[in-house]
Amino acid sequence: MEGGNLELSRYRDKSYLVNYELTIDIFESFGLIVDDIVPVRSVFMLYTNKGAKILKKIDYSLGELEYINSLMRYVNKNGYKYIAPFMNTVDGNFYLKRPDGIYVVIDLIEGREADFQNPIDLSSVSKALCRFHNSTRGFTCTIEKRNNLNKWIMTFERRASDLVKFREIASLHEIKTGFDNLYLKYVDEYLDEAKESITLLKESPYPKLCTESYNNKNVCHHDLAYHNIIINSENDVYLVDFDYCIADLRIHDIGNLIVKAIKNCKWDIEKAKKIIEDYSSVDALKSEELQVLYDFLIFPQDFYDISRCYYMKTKNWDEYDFLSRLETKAGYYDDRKTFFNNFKQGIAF
Amino acid sequence: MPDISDLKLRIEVEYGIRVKDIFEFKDELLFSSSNNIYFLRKDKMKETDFISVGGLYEYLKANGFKNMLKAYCTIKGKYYIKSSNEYYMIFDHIDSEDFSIFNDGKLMARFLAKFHKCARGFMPPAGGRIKSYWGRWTEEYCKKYKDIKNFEEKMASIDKKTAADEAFLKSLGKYMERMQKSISMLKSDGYLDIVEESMKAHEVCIKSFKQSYFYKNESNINIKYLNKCGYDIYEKDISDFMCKIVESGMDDIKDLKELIYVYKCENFSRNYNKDIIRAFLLFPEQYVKVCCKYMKNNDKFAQEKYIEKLKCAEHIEDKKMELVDALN
Repeated sequence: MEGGNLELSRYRDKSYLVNYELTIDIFESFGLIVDDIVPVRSVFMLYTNKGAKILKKIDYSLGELEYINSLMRYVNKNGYKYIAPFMNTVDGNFYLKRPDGIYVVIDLIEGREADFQNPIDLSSVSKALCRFHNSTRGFTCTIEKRNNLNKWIMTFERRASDLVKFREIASLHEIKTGFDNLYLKYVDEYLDEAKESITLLKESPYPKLCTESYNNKNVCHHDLAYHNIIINSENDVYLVDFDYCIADLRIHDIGNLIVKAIKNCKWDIEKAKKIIEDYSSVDALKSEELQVLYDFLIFPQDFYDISRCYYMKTKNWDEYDFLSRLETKAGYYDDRKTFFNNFKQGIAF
Repeated sequence: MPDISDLKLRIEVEYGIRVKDIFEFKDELLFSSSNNIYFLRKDKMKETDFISVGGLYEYLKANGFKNMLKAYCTIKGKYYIKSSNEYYMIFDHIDSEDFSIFNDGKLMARFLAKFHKCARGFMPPAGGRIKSYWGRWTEEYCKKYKDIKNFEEKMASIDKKTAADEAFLKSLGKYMERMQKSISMLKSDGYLDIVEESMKAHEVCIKSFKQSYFYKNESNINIKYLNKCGYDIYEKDISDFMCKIVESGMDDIKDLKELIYVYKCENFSRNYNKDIIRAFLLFPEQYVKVCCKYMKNNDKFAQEKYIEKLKCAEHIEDKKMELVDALN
């Protein structure tokens, strides 16, 4: 980096990166000479004398970071090699603690982001996910915050009551926005789905699966966005960004992967079936797991997420963005219905 | 408007080119040095995309590909700069010969084959991101089929149908059948086998055949910008090219078939799959485009305009169908 000066104009549009206090001593602590820096989403890509790296500022506790680091080492030791470990500082720590926060550096995985529209990628990802889950078995969760076992029902009940609260807020608005109107149009139908999900989970083998999982000690990645899955030239599937990993049933990850893969293709049941088949080709899902997967999927998570962002003001989007997102999510109500009918008949029971 | 003084400073510092003047000419931003005129192209891509595009320039150059507009890199080897929150690339400013895809089909086919050959195997440099279209088309076409099915239901439910409503409704059945056939051909193992082969070889496609992306120079077709390029199977580029040629007015099936022959003679890196090209051509993209526009904006005052657009799309689709049959 010439004279330690960054080209600040490149970062003006990245408001979430302003929390990084980028100074040369961060790089020196990791023994890096940085030639260029490129902002990508919430991290910085570094071009260094030791190859391309990712610099990340952690927004959770040191205890949680240590949990993630131990998990990554454990998984690697258990045979899932496709994970980029944290780089050590010159002092031998895997993180750098500074007054403004904790920083980690990770190797940049060369490859392309997974494409859930590509059946070959999706098949590779489903199989890799199963291998990853298997490699987490036996890893003990020492942090209660990162333990999600037996918490689904409670969480869904809280979210269902949030949907009711948002309905009250929308009804109270004297001048209703487009979002309010659309939300009010759909909320009762989605609330019914939320309640159905909760009732089904209460009657399901969910507690039994949690007990088994507690004994087996499974961990979920919990953030399987396409950009967190990198496929290299040898078709190896790398999982990156373990910020949200939790101890949970493996069907949590599978359910999230299914929704991400099918929500933009009219909730295509065949695609969901293929994910389950590919995953099961490595280690078969039991019929009890498929039943609970159905109960999990029926909760209208997408509808809840966008409503929460809007009414709790957690995202700085404009009104049009919110509305168009809600339109998309509300728009696939019928496709979801058809999907669940087919799921019952063709997959779960 | 760009900040001209900042832009000038960046060009001088980062490219080492002494700028004499920056000026606008025919909506383009140009600048001159003591011995050349350059073209500054602004693009809304992300920085990771620019890294990939720069890598592709280097890769093509290293493989002896000469048919592209000269792009300049900075002293540090980057193919872009950022000024006032906008990214720019610098190219030679050229005066192109008159050129039309209609008249220069064979040159274009040869160019396409050369590009495919030379771009084959490309992997973006670290941190670069190239768009990938591998394996997507079955799903994309299924989505479009469902949209058209909804359109049909909507049209059928209208009580007082306009002339345009009737015209669309009349044609829908035929094209929905074509869509289904195209999808079922792509659902065959053949398509995914080709995708898998293409993924292993890292086949790169041009993806856009807009005439403004190309220019003619010394009887060769050249590409101006690589920013639309992405991973896909060659068959998709070939069928997109054929569609463009049909749209441009070429309707002699013998001539159209010959273009594929010209391509094949130049690029024999693998045997292309004729049935996959047929499946892509079979899908009535032009027709779907017009239906979607009508669906979104069926202004009663524009009925005649839509009937005209529909006729035009149907003519193109008929020609494509003839080509599909001829390739059988």
